[in-house]
Amino acid sequence: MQDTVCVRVLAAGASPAELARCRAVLDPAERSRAAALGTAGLRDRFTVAHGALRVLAGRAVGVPPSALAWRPGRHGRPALTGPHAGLHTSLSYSGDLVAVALSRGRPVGVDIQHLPPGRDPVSLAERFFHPQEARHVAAGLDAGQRADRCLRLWVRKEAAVKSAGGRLWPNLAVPVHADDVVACVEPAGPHRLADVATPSGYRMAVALAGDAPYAIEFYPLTLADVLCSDGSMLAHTIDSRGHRC
Amino acid sequence: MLEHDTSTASPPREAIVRSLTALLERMLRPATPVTERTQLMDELGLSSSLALEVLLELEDELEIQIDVEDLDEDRMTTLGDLADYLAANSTPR
Repeated sequence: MQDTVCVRVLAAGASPAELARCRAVLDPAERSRAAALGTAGLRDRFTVAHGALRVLAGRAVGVPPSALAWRPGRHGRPALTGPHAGLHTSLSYSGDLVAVALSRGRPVGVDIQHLPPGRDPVSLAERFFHPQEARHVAAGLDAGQRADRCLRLWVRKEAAVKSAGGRLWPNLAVPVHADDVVACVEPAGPHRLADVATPSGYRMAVALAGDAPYAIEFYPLTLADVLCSDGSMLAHTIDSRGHRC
Repeated sequence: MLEHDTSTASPPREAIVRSLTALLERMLRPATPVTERTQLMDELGLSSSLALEVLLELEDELEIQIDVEDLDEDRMTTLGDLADYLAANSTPR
C-alpha cells in the first residue's frame, strides 16, 4: 500500500484566546524559545506553529499534545521520542503561514516560504545553485517569475534536506529542478519531492525519505479547526472535506 | 618590515561584525539593537533563506567569497559566532 504524507497549512494569526491555548501545550523549552524572540509577531508565530504541530501530532498518535517530546537530531531535525517515534514530523513557517507535515514510517521534510521583496534572485541562484538551475531562474520572463522560480527551487532543497536530516549548505547545489527523486549528498540518499499548492506569493514543497511514490493528503485549516476541542474536525478532514466543528 | 599580504587574507573580524550588524538591522528591523551576542535564529528569527541573502549581501559589500561548505546552524548561533566563521572561511575576490 502506498505511503501517505499529511500536510496541513494554517494562518499564523491568532486571537489572544487561541494563543493562550497554543501556549498551554508547549513544553518549558518551547516557551523559553518563544519568549526569546525579538518581536511579538515572531513570538506569536512560533507559538502557533509549535502549538499546532503538537495538537496535530498528538491527535495522530492519540495522546495529549503536551505528552509529546522531540529530540533534536545531529543537524537540528527534531524527532519524536518514545513510543511515538514511528511518526515523523516536520514544521515550517514563513510570512503569515505555518505548514505541518506528518508521515508514518518515512522521515519527512516540509518547507514553506513567502516570496520576499528584495534583490533579484538570479545572483543568488548563480552563486549557490546548480548551473542548470541558475540558468532556469535567469530565464524567467520578468522579476516576478525569476523570484518565483528561485523560491520553488529553494523550498524543494529545504524540504529534501529536512527529510535527510542533513546540513543545508553542502546540499544547496544538489539539483532539484527537473526530477522529483533527488540525491542528497550529506547524508547520501534519495528523497522524493512534491510541490504543494499555496496561496499566491508562497511556495511549498514536501519530501519523504526514499524514492517510493506516496500520496499527499493536503488540507488548509484554520487555527480554530486545529484547536477543535473534540478533535472532530481533524478526524473528518481525512474522510470528508465538508465537516466543520 | 614585511608588507601584510592582502591577496589571501580574510577581512578583519571587526569589519565583518560591522557589516553584519548593519545588514541584519536593515533586513529584519529588530526591536532592540543587534550586538555580537544577538542570537540570530532564536532572537531575530533568521531563516536559512534570509541567512543566504545576508551572506550574498556581505560578499558584495566586503568583496569576498565565503566558503559555505562547513557552515552549520551551530556555527551561526550568535552574530559573533557567524563572524568567527566568516573571518576564517572567506577570501578576497
